[in-house]
Order: sequence, then C-alpha cells, then structure tokens
Amino acid sequence: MNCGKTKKMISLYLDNELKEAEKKEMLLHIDSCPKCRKDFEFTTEILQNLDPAEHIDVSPYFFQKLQSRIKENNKEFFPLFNPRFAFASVATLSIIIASSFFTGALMGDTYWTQTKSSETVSIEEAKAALKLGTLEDFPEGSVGNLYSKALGGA
Amino acid sequence: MSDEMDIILMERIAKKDEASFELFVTSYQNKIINLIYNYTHSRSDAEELASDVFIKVWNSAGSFKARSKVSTWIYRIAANTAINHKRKKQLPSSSIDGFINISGNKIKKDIAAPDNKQPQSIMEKNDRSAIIQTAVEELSPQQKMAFVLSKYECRSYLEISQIMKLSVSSVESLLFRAKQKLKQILLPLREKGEI
Repeated sequence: MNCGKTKKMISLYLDNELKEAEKKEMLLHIDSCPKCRKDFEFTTEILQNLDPAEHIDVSPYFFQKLQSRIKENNKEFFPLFNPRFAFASVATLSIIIASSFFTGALMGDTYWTQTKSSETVSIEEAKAALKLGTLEDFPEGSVGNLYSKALGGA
Repeated sequence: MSDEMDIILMERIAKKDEASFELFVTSYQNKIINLIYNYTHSRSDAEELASDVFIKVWNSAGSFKARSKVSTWIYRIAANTAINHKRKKQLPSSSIDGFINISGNKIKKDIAAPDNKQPQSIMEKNDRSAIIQTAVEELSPQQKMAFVLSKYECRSYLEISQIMKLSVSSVESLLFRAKQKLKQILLPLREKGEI
C-alpha cells in the first residue's frame, strides 16, 4: 500500500467505513511509515477535539409561528383575496377596464362611433337589387314577406 | 415514527390535513432544527430555516413519490436549504452566533473572554476545540454538510449519499477533501504551537 492510498484509507477508517482486511493493511503501513503515522495521529487529534454535537430545545411556539408563515404565504400567493391588497386590486381592475375603453375609442370602432357594418351594407345592396323601399315591401305571402314577419316586421 | 406512518402522514398532508401536518412537524422538528443548528451555529437561523423546510413539505407533499424514506426526503430538504442559505448569505466570520473574529480567526466568545473559574486543562481543550471549529467553518457548504452529517449525526456514507443525492464515492471524496482542508488550515497553527 502506498502513502497516497493510505491517506484515503485513514479518512475512511476515521469515519468507520473501512472493512476489516483494509483496516489491517492500513495499520500495517502506518506502523512502517512515519509520515503516514504523523498524518494519522494529527487527523485523529482534530476529530477527537471537535466540539460535540450541540442540542437546542425547540421553541414552544415553533408550530404556531410555522402556521402563521404558511397562512401569510398563502395570502401572498392569492393577493386579490388579501385585504391588504384589496384597494390595489380594485384600482388595477379599474385601470384595465378604463384602458380597454380608451383603446377602443382610439381605434374608432366603439359602440357610439360604429360605421356601417358589412351586414348593414349587404342589406342595402339586397334592397337595391330587389327594388324595395323597405324589407316590408315584399309581396304578401312571399317567402321574403314571411321571413320579414318572423323577424318582427310588419 | 415508522416509515409506514410517515407515508400515511405524507398522503394526508398532501390533502392539506393540518392535524397530520402538526403531528409530522412535532415528530421531526427537533432533528431538523438541531441538524441545521450544528451546521449554522445560529439558533435564529436554525428555526427560520427549519420553518422553510416544513413549508416546503406542506407545499410539496403531493409530489413525494416514496422512492426514498420520508425521513431521508426531509433531511435532504433540510440539507439543501441549509447549503443554499450558506451559499447565499456567505456569512462573515463575525456574524456567526457564538463566534467572534480574532486576528482573522473566528474564536468562540467564551474563549475570548474565558471564565477564570475554569480549570486550565478545560480552557486549553475549549481553546483547541474553538480553533478546530473555526477551521470547520472554512469548509465549502457541501463539504461542511457532509462533515456535519458524518460527525454530528453519525450517518454512514450510504445514508449521507441518499440525503445529499450523491454517489457514495462522491461522499467519500467530499469527506476526504474536508479532512485535508482542516489539516491544511490547522497544521501551521500546530507548528506555531497555537493548538
């Protein structure tokens, strides 16, 4: 066994991860190699002088604090339902609605500025082709007259 | 708590059953807080980060697939939470609870101002331990977590590999490099007779 392998073996040995045969092999090398023995002794000393694991008692209100944090997180996840954000939510919605009306007005196709739609144009073309003043001018009993009545005409 | 019981609780927590969550937290809070405390040495960070761990459990219990034990899963969340915290915060030496900076070395407060009633041998032992602890703080976040799991939680390499989601050989390598780094830091102090 060489010194490089022994260094790794020392680490495993000190963590109780070495098999019995490997342990014997490592200890044999350490006995015959002063450099590795020194390394082994120093590493052992470091680990033996580590502070022991510390133990702290959990605060009696740990779970209550945890519950509060979860509730707080849920509110942040759904800010619309959080009273703290209610005003901001209403204001945001109002801005969205107002800006959609404004955009529509700018585009010139709002309810009150609507120009003739393609449907209106087709009806006027149909009236001109049939030489009718109004759709109610269809002859009595004709399909056009019945259709007009069904639509609520005269 | 048995593994079967843990799985039943996880299923209930996934359905947002608060009573099961409370039972689960009660059974793990001590272990998780103390694991994080031995990693951060800060009581406030330990409780804060443990809360983060349990919030993650509450939010992601539904995605637990039982490929590993629940205990391994929660330790993994705790280990990752603590490692990420150390990476983000990059704690300056003097901010770690119970430690202060003396000549570039973090030394425990009670060593810097020792109780004179302590016997000399105990003071020397405490002094050496404090310097070694200072060196442990210099390990990388991952090396330190593997070290804490090995030395303070007495976990085997296999268990550490499952918790940290690494191969056993990676754990072996992490812990080997951790010891090498400790020796590298402490050897000059030993040669100067400071430890």
